[in-house]
Amino acid sequence: MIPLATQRVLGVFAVIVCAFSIAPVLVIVAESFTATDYVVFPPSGFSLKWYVEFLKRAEFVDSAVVSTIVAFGASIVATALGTAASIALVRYEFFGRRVLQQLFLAPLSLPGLIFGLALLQFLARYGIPRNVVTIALAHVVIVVPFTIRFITVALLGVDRKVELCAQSLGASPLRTFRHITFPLIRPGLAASLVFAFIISFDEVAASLFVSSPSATTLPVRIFTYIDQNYDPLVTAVSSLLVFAALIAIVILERAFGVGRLFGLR
Amino acid sequence: MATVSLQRVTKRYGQDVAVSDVTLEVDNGEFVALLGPSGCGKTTTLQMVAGFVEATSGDILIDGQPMHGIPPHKRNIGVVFQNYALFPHLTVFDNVAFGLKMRNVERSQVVGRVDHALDLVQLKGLDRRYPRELSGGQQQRVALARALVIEPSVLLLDEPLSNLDANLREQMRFEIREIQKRIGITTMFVTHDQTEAMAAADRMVVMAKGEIRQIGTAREIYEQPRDLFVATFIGQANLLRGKVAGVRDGEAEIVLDVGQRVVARHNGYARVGDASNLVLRPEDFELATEEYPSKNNLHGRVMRVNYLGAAINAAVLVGDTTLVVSIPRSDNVAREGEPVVVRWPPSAGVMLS
Repeated sequence: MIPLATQRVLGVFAVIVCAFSIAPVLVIVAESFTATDYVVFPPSGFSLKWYVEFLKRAEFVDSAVVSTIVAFGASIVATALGTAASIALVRYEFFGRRVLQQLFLAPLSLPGLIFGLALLQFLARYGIPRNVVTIALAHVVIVVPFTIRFITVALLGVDRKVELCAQSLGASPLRTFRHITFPLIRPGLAASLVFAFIISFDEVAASLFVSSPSATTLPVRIFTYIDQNYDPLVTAVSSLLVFAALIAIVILERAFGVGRLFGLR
Repeated sequence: MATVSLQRVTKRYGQDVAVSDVTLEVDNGEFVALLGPSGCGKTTTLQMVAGFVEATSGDILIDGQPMHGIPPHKRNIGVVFQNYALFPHLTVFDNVAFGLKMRNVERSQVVGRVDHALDLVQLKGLDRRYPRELSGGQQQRVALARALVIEPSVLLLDEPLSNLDANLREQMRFEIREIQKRIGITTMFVTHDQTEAMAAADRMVVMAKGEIRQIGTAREIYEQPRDLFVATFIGQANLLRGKVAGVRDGEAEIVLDVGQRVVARHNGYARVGDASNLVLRPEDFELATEEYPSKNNLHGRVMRVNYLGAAINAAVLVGDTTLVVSIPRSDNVAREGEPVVVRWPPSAGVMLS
């Protein structure tokens, strides 16, 4: 048992951590509703004019579409790959399993800048065009470690004996997955999809290198925009990113409970 | 229904030998218990029959068909695990129906066969429930019904009763035996509980360190253990160490380390001068105040008396050896601290090297 005094201190610490993480987001969201033509906090007046402005700016809308397509594609592909990798890592003993486990999780510790730079060189060298597909593939590499984590946790929660029983009852390994394992890890798959989507949708560093005039993601668009301008438009666009993530989390919480997906419960 | 034959089956994990050179024949409709301490290879043996684990060498045959390379889903085997391993996302009905669906049995037939299986394990009316809404005993019955509904050639039970409380365990053991007899299915049952194995099985297979130590009926194994491990693992055993001093007419004379000469049934191979252990069950002894000429007699002192209801357990110190003696509760010879004569006929006990 942790002593009561220590518990209190830890509690206060946790609150401070949360406040420091969330406060900047709240400030940005608040600023986006300002009626002024400049960024100010606290906002003065209430207006949706900067959201309207966003819709009028074709390059921002295009980028939103690009980001959405990339995030959808990357999260689906990464979740599929993550499922296959997790099954191998959790269910099978084979030579080099440990090494693979580390290798799959390596991109987590790889700075996006370095990855983006390497990818840019690679694409340039072989004359591969930078488009939506290339960005999505780059994002797959970035989010796959996360999907592996989620799906591994989910798979560890499925009793191996349940799968063995299904096999003894006549289900081939494939049908065992379809009828038993898949339904049981569905919450983990949903979490994997949603978080992969959010991470992809937010990714800046690597995307900076692979974006091109024909395909630029929303965070990169914001990043390049504020280089020249600083008006409430960026706060509105940034807020849209926050809202998208928020909606995804709420849906996930309602459907499965977020704590369980992280293996906390 | 089928026979199961294991021929010189060995399973190695790297350097570790989990199962070593196991040969076993299970008859049609027979109920065989694999018994041994944890890590003795009994579960690995069962998993090889199921096909979950591939043998390193040797052959496994079901109904004469070699099983090498045949995956579990093509073996037609019913498995029940200790933790039941029910499908948590499916209802009782769908759990039991699963094997039939995998076999593409027609929907109209599925309902009838599932009903029949649930009837067999006395679980009618719960088919809409989910596993988490059932008690441990009910879950166990569902697991059994699910394994039986596919009419498997062999039923494999891996410690199926260990998660149940004592009363329920006995009842389920009885029911499993009853059902097994009624449908006459060949069954292999893994357990570490000797009472369970003795009560349920036609034959017992005692395993240790990956090897089979003895195969036989409960009576054979209890009364004629083949080695010290079996003697001490099954039931309580008193060991009297000594040397063979003479052999005649199927009897051996043994000079015990405690100094006394005793006579025992000869095991057929011990020679004069060999070290020998005489194994005696607590109920082989009787306690008395004086010697009896045609019996073996050892003088000792009663150290402890425990009244257990059905019998009295007494600890008697003979030399430096403590003997555990079980006597009828009507017997009032045993009083703590008093001298006593421990007697047994030469026909009781087993000589082991």
